[in-house]
Amino acid sequence: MHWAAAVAVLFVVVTKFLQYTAKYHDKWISQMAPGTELSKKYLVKMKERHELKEFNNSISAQDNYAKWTKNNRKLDSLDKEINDLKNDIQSQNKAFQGHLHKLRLLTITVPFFVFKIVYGKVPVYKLSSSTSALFPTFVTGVWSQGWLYVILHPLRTISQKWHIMESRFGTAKFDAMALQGVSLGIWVWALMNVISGLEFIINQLFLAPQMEPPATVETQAEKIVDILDDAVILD
Amino acid sequence: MDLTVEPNLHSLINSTTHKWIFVGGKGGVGKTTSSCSIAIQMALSQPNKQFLLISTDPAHNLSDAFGEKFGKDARKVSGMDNLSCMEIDPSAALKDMNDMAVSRANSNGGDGQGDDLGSLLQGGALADLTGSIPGIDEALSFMEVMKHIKRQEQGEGETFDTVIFDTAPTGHTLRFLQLPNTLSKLLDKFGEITNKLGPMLNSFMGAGNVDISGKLNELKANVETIRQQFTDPDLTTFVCVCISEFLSLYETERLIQELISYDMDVNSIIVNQLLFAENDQEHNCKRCQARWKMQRKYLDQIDELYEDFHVIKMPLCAGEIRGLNNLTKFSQFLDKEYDPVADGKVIYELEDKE
Repeated sequence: MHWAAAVAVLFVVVTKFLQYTAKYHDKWISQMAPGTELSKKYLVKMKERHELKEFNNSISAQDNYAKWTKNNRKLDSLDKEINDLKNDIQSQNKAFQGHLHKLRLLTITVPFFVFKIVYGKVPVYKLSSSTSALFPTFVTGVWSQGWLYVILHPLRTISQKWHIMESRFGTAKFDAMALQGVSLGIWVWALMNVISGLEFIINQLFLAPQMEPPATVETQAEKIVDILDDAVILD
Repeated sequence: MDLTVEPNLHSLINSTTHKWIFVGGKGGVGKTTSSCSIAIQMALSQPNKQFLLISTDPAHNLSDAFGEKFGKDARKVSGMDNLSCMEIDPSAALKDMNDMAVSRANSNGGDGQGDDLGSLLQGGALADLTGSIPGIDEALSFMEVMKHIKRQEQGEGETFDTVIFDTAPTGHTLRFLQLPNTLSKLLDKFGEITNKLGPMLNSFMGAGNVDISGKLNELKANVETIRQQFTDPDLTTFVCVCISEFLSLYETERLIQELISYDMDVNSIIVNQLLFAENDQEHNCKRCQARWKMQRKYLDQIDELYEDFHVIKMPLCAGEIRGLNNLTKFSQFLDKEYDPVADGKVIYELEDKE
């Protein structure tokens, strides 16, 4: 395998892994986030609240009014503290998530994009001239030069027709570009399409909830009365 | 330094700074009797000052308590020079507003349009419409407070040094006390809108020449003044009234916590209808003894919970506490705490009002 293709596969694997595990990210982030101390404090407070609530439920408010009321006051202040802690944790997580998002952008999204731009035309494998000959020049051109070839293709036609710019966009040179093989850009594009096609099939076959067939309600108008006998009973 | 809190309202009764005193609690615990008692004691201890007792409870009891009729305008209590009472009547106030709207519509109505509006409002349509709005009683009480402040600022009409509110049961009162904050927020939002749309709104109101943003700013300033005064412990305090029973205490606790969350001063609790049965052996009522035992249980809990509060323990009297004389006799125990041994006979000395 060409080294560029291997690097691209690595990027694709990482991107897809992050996509498939998206629902667990919040959990991972909460474990990694610097607000772990706050989270621990939050859990302690929640436990304390639960114990107080249980204790208050276990005693008679009428017989232990003072104790019950003091506990209620504590519960009120605990609720306030818990709410404040929750807000703190949420804002910290949000900030941390923002940093992670930037990190992902800088380490995966942007490098992969730049990689595709810089090495997009690198042929990841060559096609023999006999194989290339099986396909029209336009198709092999797109394979080797990427989608830019579609835009540049009219130039080929124009230069062929009017014999202009022979040196730069000569048809021979242009056709030679089409014989270089399959470029990394097109190869990655094809790979992504295959993966998304597979995702669609797996999703439709195994993951998507099954739809109930529509219930058929027989209305009066749809009711068809079959006439089986045309005999007329006479008086 | 002595940090014990007196079990009476002596400091409040002789306070020269308080402008607003709210008296509230659960229904049927003796709010009206307590507010009348505070008002009478304050009026007696500070004869040079004028006091106003306002009932904001839709079910008014002030007239019954004093045994004379009070209305929507302040009127002096017979036998007292410096104590006036008034009962805010939402339906009467709304009727007045309706009548004002009718007369304004009729005076503008040379063009026929006014006649239509006047005829529409005839029969109290506005009163019927607005009377059904939830919280209108509280809003009208609030308007009364605003009027009072305005009068004091402008030095117009009769002014009062201290206003005592005989409030409605807890829910109503909390809504009333929330109004300054709610209105303040609402007016802020309104202010933002009128700043953007002010000229347009003013041009809509063109014929009446009403400066909406000006009016809103004036209202906002008034509301802010009330909010500041209500949260100043030197100017405003809340006296909670309860009886020594679970539900009453529970509601009192809820009220106190809510008031604290509004930054209002609350440091007094009047516990009414106490039997003090161990000092009443001559009548030896078993039911009273048993009930007093229960009351004592809750009194102990009150003492434990509200150790930094003035907790005033008031006796259950043999008769109804109605009329100025009875109220004056009863109210003395707010200024100097009730001693079951020394003052026990007072509870049988109330005049019969029938």
